[in-house]
Amino acid sequence: MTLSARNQLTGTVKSIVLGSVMAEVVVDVSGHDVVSVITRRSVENMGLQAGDTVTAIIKATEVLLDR
Amino acid sequence: MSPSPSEAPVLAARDLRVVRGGRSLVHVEHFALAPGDVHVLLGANGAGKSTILKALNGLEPADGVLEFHGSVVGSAAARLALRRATAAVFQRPYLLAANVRDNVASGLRLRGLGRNAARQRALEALRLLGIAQLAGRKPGNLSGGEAQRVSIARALAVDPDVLFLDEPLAALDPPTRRALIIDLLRIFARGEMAVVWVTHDRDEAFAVGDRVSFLEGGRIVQTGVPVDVFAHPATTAFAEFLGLDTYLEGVILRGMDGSTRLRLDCGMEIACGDAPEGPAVACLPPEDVVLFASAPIEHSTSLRNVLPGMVNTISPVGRLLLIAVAAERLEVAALVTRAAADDLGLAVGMPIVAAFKAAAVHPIPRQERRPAMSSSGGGQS
Repeated sequence: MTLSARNQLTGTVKSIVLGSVMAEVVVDVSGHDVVSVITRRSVENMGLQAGDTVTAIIKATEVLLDR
Repeated sequence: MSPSPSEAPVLAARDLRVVRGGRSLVHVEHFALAPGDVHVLLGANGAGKSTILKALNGLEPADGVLEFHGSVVGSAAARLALRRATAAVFQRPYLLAANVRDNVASGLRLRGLGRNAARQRALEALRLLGIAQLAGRKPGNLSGGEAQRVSIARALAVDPDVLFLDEPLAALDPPTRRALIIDLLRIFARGEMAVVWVTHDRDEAFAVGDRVSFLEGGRIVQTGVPVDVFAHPATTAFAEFLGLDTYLEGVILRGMDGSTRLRLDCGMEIACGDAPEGPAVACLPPEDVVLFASAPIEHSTSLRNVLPGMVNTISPVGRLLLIAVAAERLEVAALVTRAAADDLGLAVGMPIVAAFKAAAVHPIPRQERRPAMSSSGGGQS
């Protein structure tokens, strides 16, 4: 899949916490947690479950650095 | 652009100039405030917004023609009559040491109303702003938002033909600002007064304005309906001031599951962040838009908004590229790195898919626009 986002991190869904409208999905990427807040509807549409392999996509303009 | 005869302006200016020390500070070639309209004067700091506001309400001596209800405001008596029939609110509330109710009554007392009648009208104005319970408080015991509500109640109490607001929300925190916008729009929707609203905040202008005039160097460079003007800024400075966001206007609909959609005027619906049902405007920041070479397989992505289209323009923005994508009924902008553009082989005219999260679309509620409002706009004034 070709897309403009520069960072594509493949990992495993570790947990999903469903809110009334939104959901928090934690993806384990090589031992690091990447947290994604998406709509509950998206979780349902994608049929996301713990253990699924997913790609966390992050635009380069959104990545903050700290030293 | 000039109003129809049935909609003669409440306030109009032609070639209005404020000159100080031989230097022209502001020059308004043409300005017309239609009855019931909220007309926003938008611009950066130093653009001359407050000076123009003061020239329009007679506080600042100016050359040129100012007309109030069709009569030229020339003499000192006419200026006083203009000031008596209008009211102003500033960024700071400037309250007297008296209690809230007497503060709100003070404008009426100045206009010669008796004490009891003034206090009764003051209480009505406080109720309108939802702060009747503060009537007996002293200004020192009010929060910033409460004090500004008192200041607005004082202005509304005199039942002005024109209300002048000079950065009324600039000193308030975002939740307080949002709550006050909703209340003010409810009051203005009754169409009982025309409003001149000065702000440097583009989102505020977009949310409250029936018309907006953009100011640069003491001049109005563009006037029109916000959604038109914001989509087609007439000058580079205005385009830079607006930022690169996509501006959307429509109605919020809520699904059974609590999810929200914004139905645009073109009939298209996009998934958006949480907001109450009803008319709303929303900004979509281009840094939140991702481009795909081809549409992702359905339900393979959490991105709720996926719009097939084609590359309309490619513009450099610093080290990044701003890609305008023309989808079927909507144009959205995406900010991408040059490396990403190379990977996708982006070129004007090629098919592309723009996608963004529902949460990237932040709607701001607004009142239904009045039907009398002109739909023309976007032209240079």
